[in-house]
Amino acid sequence: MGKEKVRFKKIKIYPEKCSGCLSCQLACSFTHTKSFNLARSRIIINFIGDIERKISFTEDCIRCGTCVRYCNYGALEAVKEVTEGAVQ
Amino acid sequence: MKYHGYAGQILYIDLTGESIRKEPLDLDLIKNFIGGMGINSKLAFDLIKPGTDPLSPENVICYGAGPFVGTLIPGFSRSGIISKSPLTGLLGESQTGVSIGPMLKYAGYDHVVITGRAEKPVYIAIDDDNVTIKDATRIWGKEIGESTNEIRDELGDFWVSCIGPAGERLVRFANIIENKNGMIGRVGLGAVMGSKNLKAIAVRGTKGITVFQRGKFLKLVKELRGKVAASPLVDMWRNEGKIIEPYEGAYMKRGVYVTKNFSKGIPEGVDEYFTQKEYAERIWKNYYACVSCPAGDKGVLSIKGGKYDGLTFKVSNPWGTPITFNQAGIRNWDDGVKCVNMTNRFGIDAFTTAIMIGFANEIYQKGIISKEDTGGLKLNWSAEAAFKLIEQITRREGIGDILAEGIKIASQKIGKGAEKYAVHVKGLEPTMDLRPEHFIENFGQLVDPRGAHHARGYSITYIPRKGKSARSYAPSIGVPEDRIDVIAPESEADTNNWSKSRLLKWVNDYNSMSFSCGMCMRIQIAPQYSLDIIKDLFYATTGIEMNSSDLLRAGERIWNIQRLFNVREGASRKDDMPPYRMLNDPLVVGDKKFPPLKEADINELLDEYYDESGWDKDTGKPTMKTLDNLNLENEGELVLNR
Repeated sequence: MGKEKVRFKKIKIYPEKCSGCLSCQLACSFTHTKSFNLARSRIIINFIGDIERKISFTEDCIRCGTCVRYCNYGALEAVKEVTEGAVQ
Repeated sequence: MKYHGYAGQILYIDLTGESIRKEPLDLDLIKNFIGGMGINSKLAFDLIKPGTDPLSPENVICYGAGPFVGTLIPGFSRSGIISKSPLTGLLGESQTGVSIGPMLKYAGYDHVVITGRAEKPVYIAIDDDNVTIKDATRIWGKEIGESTNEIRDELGDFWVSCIGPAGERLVRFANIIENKNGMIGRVGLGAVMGSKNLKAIAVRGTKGITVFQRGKFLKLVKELRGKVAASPLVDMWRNEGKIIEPYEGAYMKRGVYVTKNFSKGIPEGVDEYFTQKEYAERIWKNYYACVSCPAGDKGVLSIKGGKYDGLTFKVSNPWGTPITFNQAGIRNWDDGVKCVNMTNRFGIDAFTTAIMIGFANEIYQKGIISKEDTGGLKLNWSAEAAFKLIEQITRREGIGDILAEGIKIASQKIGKGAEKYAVHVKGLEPTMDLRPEHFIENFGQLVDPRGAHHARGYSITYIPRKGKSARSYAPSIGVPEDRIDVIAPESEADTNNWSKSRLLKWVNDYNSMSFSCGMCMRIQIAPQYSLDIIKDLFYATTGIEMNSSDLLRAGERIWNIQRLFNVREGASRKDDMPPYRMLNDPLVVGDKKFPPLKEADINELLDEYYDESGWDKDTGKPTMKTLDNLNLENEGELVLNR
């Protein structure tokens, strides 16, 4: 049986809950580029050193939901709307 | 060589000649000293000549980030700096979790070594392979936040490690502050940067860090993230200062955290003055976290109401640091928070500043200094006096110029018996008193190479523990079975009568290794790890084979080379003794009175610690046999046979 691949149409953000730990950025870049690299993450957290928390996504984000799984603070929520076919 | 976990290069920058070179990170250096603090220690030992004036161009600044930093391993984002400390004249080492370490690694460097002195104020910009030395004249004199912002305005989204006005004026306890609120604190490394006319290092890296076994690595990370997140301590540390009463309050009641320059206890501290209720309602706003940390125990403070209404900023220890200012006589959140805000903006160590103000107040009250010495400023333990002294220390104005020298030099300069009120070990003030009780962390302050700080002694014993706790904890950090039977024999399983000083040796070795990987010692993080877990992570991350015993031995080597650095500067057993006050004055904590420490008791603890460490009991120096076993015979020859 192949593993079901789920894509999320939308990721809801709750910036006030973001801790700035950047785990989402690290997990995103590791998943998509095989290395930990904030510059190549498709989710971007602008929080280092500042009070205001900003969360944004680059155009090539495919809403795979990795960032959501690595958020320990409830700042990201996946809204499941599209399920693609089973893949190996 | 293909590196995983490591970036693979050391960047050398000489400010005098404006020369820049890069060298590959040597595999033997990794195997012997791990990375981060460990490799920094070796670099400092090799590059800083004995007797160097810490504020001269000959001193060397070593930045370093360990192999786990910048990855997803929870709680491993700490990286730091080593130089010769202008406060202690010994090894100056400090780390922060809000560091620029991850970005340094993404840019391609595990370490940055800075030598010389620029002719005029400069900052270093590292943009992947491009390293440039830039003019900093226009930001010289500016506070931390403003300096960081101006550098970012010029360069873009860089991470910044910089000094404030205190570092520029060579205050011997000036901090280097990373990303506006990560404190490279305690040992005055901000003054070393100031002495080099170096305002900041700014870095942006886009190269990334790979790991050796991706699947195994992620499996371990997921398990560890789950363990950290499941700890009930996470919520207590993260939200609304829920930890204040069980932690700070307990220490105050026991007399471990004291007040007014260590003159007495403050058992009522969190019940009357620094209450959790007021903190949650008026002071705390939100949490934030270090890179890759699921604990998120740092805080955004934002005062509601009162004279500082709206004052908002980030603090690494959001409740502990304001409370520290009770050492300066401050007994309310608002003024404590205001003091922290000032020290953070000016780039000066909050803890040491609180003690210096407490010291100044006490010697004023005792008549050792007078209004003439303070330029008319009345030192009556008030917040107004504290604010004024923070400004004067930062600007080296008036009495502040003497206090800026740090507790040891300032007390000697003042004389007239002021030394008796100077509470320090090796020139650094302790965070914890030892008179009410001994445990690993507070005893560890005596033998820590950087002076009296508790962090390298972090283990299980902050509260009194029975022998069985030590027996179950010791294997997790690699203490051999035969040593466990000596440290905490089975017969003492149900008593507190076991050797904290002997266990400390193993704690120091384990911590030296794990901190060199980047570990945070906070209680939500460190207990989730063990020597075996770190061994598995180390291989999955780096692909370099090191078994548990190799890793622990590397930790021992790191601790010993730090000790050797100090021995080379003249330090010996006498420098491991507690402060005069703790040996001579009793400590009153509410209705309890603890007698001064007995020298004989401390000597017994030190004897045991040296014996366990393979150090000479008379001198406190590592023996040649110990150094031979650690492959430090060349370093030993250089120091012991001088």
